[in-house]
Amino acid sequence: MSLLFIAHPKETDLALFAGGELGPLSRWRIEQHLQQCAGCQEAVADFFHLQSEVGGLSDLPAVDWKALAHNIAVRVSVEAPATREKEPHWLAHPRVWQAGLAAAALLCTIVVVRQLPTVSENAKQAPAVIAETPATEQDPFEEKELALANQPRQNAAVAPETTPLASSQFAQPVDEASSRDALTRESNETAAGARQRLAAPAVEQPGRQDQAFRFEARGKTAPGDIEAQSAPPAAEPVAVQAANLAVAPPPPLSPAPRAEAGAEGLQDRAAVGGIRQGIVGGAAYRQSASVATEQRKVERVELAQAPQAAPPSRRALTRVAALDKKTDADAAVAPERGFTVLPAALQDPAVDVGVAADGWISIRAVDANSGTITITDVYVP
Amino acid sequence: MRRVFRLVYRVVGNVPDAQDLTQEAFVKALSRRSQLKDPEKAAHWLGRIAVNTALDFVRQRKRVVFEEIEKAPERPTESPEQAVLRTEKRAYIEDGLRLLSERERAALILRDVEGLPASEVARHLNCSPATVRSHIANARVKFRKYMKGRKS
Repeated sequence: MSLLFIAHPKETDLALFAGGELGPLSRWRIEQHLQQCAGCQEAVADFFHLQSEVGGLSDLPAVDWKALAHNIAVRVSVEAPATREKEPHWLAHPRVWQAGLAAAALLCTIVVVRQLPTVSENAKQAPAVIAETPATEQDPFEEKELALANQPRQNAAVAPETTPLASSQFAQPVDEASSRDALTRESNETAAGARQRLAAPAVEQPGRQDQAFRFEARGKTAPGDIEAQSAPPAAEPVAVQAANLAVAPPPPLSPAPRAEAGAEGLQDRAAVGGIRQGIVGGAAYRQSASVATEQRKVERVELAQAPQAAPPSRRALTRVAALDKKTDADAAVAPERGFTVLPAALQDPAVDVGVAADGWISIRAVDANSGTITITDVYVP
Repeated sequence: MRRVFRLVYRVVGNVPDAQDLTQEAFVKALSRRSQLKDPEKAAHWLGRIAVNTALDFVRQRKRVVFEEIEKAPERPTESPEQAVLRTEKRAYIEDGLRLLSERERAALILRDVEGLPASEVARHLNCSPATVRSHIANARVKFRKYMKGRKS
């Protein structure tokens, strides 16, 4: 009987025997052989030892799991967005979903910070738009004179939009010194005006009313919308507004022009500069929407990746978070990823971010000084 | 995520590469998720992507860079002598692992370090159980030779 097992098994079989990877027959044969072969016993003992030694590597080094998860979220959102909507069961996976939201929040942070400088520009620009809102019913010169009388400082914002001839005609009733003064100011601010024109090119275009209407339609969820639409001509609210802006009730996040489907609607929206004003509960409020030049750049980049068809239909907004301390934490780690985030700037205006499941992000920033509310919609596929 | 990292780390042997490749594995998985037929096997599938990502990386770089000895995980309870001994032992084992081919090393580590059954290792490496057994056996034989050589 023992002669049957005299041939040595292959070393590889002994290795598998030690690891328990052999089938019952091979195992039995090797067991029989080992009873009479010291050399193979030693080999098997070596393999047992080897396994325990290699198994000792099972320790994992200290890893910052949170940072790793964050990085995964960022990379997943940037590099694998193309077919995300096609596989709902992956979206349903909580980790993937959390990762996506985290990435979206980070993107929002970047977008908001990029836009912030224009929020203050907006504060200057907004009164000019107010003055122009009723322009279709008023003589433009009267309207501008009114703006000059009520808000002298805002003249600069109006001036760049005016031709030199119109400016000089406009300056006629004023005495010569102040006229010169005004002209100097205009020329000094031409550069700024050009920038403003870039930022809000639609203001003087014939399509303005249409765009303003779009904006009105987009703000449907704001309280006092009806009052806003039936508000009296500009002069009255402008005066009230200056006094009461600080108590202006911030309107809720508007899911915005998603309803205007298609790329055309999106481009229009990018150029819209609009303002709403009215009186709610004795307090004046106004709402403006603008998309800064840089912001538009971001949007175009994102749109290039977005489906050409209409964006997905509106869904319930998921409120992610007001950007508070959490943002500071994000901002602190963000530079490593090549973004410049200024946490101090985020503390100035109140910023709200809403993320919809269909990839739209609405950002509402309230400028504490001017009361200007800027709503920006970005498509992040 | 930890499981993916663990698998990748076992193959590439150092934390920075493992972190990068863990991210890459997730990106790959998401972009290829249409290939996942059975959602219940998502964990295996993800593991396979992770191991393959790591193997591709190691193959391209031709060698495995194991963790610096000083960076070996610390245990607060052990004495300095024990720590030195442990890091030496670790370096000794990692030297031996370098002698193996990528797939042999991956198979051996998944089997003997992670304790996965051979059939599962085969799934992770996207090959047959017979091939995996062959990889494991060859790896153990090579490693035994290395140990004997070090002893003598």
